[in-house]
Amino acid sequence: MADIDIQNLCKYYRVHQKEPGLAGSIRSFVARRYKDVKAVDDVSFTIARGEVVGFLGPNGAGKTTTLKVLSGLLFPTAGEARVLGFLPHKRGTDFLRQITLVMGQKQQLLWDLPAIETFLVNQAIYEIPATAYRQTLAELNELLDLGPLLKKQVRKLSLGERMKCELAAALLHRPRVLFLDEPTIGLDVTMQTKMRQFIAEYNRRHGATIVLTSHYMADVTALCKRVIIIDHGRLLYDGNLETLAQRLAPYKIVSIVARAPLTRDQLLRYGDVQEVDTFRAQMRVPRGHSSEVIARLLQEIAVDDVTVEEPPIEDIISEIFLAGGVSS
Amino acid sequence: MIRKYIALLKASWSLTMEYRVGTLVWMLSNTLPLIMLAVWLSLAEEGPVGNYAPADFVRYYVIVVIVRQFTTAWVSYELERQIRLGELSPKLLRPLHPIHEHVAIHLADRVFRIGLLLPLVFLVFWFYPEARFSVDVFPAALAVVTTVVAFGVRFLTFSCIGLLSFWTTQSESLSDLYYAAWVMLGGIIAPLDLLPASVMHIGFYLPFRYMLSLPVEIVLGKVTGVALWQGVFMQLGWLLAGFLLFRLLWHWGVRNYSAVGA
Amino acid sequence: MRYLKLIQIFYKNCLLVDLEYRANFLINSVMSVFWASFAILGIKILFLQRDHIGDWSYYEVLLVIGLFQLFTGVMEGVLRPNVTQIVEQIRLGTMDFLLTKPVSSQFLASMRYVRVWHLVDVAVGVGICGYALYRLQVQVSVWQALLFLLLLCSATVLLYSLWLLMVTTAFWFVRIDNITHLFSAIFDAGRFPVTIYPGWVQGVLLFVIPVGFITTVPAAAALGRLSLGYAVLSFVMAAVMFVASYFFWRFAVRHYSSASS
Repeated sequence: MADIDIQNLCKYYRVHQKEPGLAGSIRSFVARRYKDVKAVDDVSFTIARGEVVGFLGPNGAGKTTTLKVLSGLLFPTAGEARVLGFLPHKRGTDFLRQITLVMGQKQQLLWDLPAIETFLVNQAIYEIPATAYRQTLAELNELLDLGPLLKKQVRKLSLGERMKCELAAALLHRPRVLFLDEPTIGLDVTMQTKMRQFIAEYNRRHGATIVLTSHYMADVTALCKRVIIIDHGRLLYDGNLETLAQRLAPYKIVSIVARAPLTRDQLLRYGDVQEVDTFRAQMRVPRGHSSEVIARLLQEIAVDDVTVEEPPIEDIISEIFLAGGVSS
Repeated sequence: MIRKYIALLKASWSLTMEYRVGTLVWMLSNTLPLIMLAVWLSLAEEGPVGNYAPADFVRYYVIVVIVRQFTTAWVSYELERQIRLGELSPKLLRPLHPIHEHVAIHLADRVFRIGLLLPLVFLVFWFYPEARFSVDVFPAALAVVTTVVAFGVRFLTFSCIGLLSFWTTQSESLSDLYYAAWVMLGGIIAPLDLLPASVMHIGFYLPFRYMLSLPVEIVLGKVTGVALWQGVFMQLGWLLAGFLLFRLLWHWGVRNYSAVGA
Repeated sequence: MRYLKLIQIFYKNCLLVDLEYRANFLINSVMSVFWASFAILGIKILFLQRDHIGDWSYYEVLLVIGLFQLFTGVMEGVLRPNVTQIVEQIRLGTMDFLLTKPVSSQFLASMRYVRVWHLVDVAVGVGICGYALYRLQVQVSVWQALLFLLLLCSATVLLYSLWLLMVTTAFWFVRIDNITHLFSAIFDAGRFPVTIYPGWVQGVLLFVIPVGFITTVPAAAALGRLSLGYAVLSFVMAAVMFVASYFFWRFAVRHYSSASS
């Protein structure tokens, strides 16, 4: 059975609408207008044990809402979510002991005390036996290099150090399912890399199921074979990261090196010209026609070299979000 | 459960130590009983007010200050903040009711406050011998018990007001209202027997007397016999009511919270 | 002139924001009336036992209560919101933005925000004062009325300076909510005429934490029982505190700019 299974999940919010200006403010002071926002709209997917899945979408797409439904903080407006066979929103003890939610922008550590104090409280709350606790802590210590951090007051730690402790506190009870919401936000590049390595290693060692949202494509490309993309609450794509381009990008990137200098006008008939630099040029060519276009191009222009590539994933995704949907 | 509490209390004690200066300032900020004492003393200069001579006022307010330190609670503001800022969400995902954390920090704080307060009280009685008094074992023991229950009533009812943040953004104002009513009817503005009889009559049924005044009245022997047991009975009633209301509000509130966004 | 224009813009912005929270208007009005009744009930209890406190009659004390309510409104509406912001900005380091603006930093830091709904307190306070004066049937000469108004102004300046002094310590302590809380607790003593307190407490309330000059002194002036000495002293206190807070702010800002990188 899949670790995570959601079917036709919907989550709507009711919000009050603001109007601009003093007059608008006074009007809405007297009479308010409301509107339903579909944060998650008819989304279904399943995730198997041990998978690492990247959850992508622009701000407000519904990523965090979905994670909150999965971890039990929100109950669905419609549809069903099951995690490890439990209904998350019941928040039963057996369920809570097996999951964890890490939010990069929120923290559970006691701000004014050393992190080890929070660890001890969590040990008691999750009823972790002393030996298991020591073992886990030693392992986390080895992976995250926590040593000197544990005895310092949390407020005195740097953001990266705090995030390490935050992760450790969230993993002490060895959850089987991890929900990571922007775990690398605000961290510098080396720290991001370390976090990624840690998450990958944790997944490898314990076979934990991990759902992760991030703004950084690098997080996703480094960790996830599979991605789920949502926008405006709707599922846009669910599948392999590598085939994402084939499925979603309507074009390929053709780069040429010519013998004679090139002009933009000369190339317009072949595709969407991205850049021209005397002998080199790059353009987007419609996926279905690429071989035919290249054949024509080779006949009409003297070229030294031609390469055809899939567009970079970052570009595809940002274009999808810009367009606000997949053009199929 | 006991294990969990021990761990919580340890962390809470560390926190209390961390916040010791703040707590001290909060204790110093309890000026209202002292202001009222000064005012009543100025009235009592011309002769006793009701049954109260100046020494009676000093004795009364000293005990009020002690009981108040034992029973003080700020849980409603904490809950309000946690709900408003979404800090409650991660706590809901731990297999322990989030309220226990607040109970533990209040308990740890008690130990600290009393440690500071007792020497001060001793000094007052040392320098102002007229205010000394004696009390029998039984009322003393009952006063201790009712003080603990008073804390329970205050903590639970205050929590209920904090939980209203699940529905309204104004629970802080409600906390202030509740606090003000407590100042008026709990025995801070005036000993309750100086209030008009009609107010005292209503006050008997409200929770405020049972959060502060009752133990003070017991220690000073102002309430005895049937009235004493009526008071204790009412107090226990409010404890139970507070508990049930808390359970109910928590249940509804968390459900509501997970409907509209945590 | 530029400063008046800025205040106009700032306050309009705040009004726009506050209009968003319409429940606050209702709640603040209710709270304001409630706190006023609370204060009045408090003194009613006292006057059940006696017909005067010290040498102040019921309506005379009511006048003091009215002024207390009025200045509570000024404190909560105009001073505290700025203080909260200053503390936050020092904590987050965004104070730098403020210091690089070509306008007095003290002005920007202390006059930027207003919580409009708290001005209901001011209105209620004025109402109570008016009612008390009406019941007292005091014959107010032009000179007395002028002195009363001038003393209200000096009380406002005094209160402003006290808050500025407090908040300036945030440059060193960062968290000062304890200090402001303690101040509010001591300010509570201003509900009653300071003359009813024991001698040394009076001294503290006049010259250490000059709450007496904010409520008792203007009230005494309106009742025509203020000696000229205290009136002059009141203006001197306000001036001294204002200058002191100004220099303390400048000192703190210099310290801040040299200490942070």
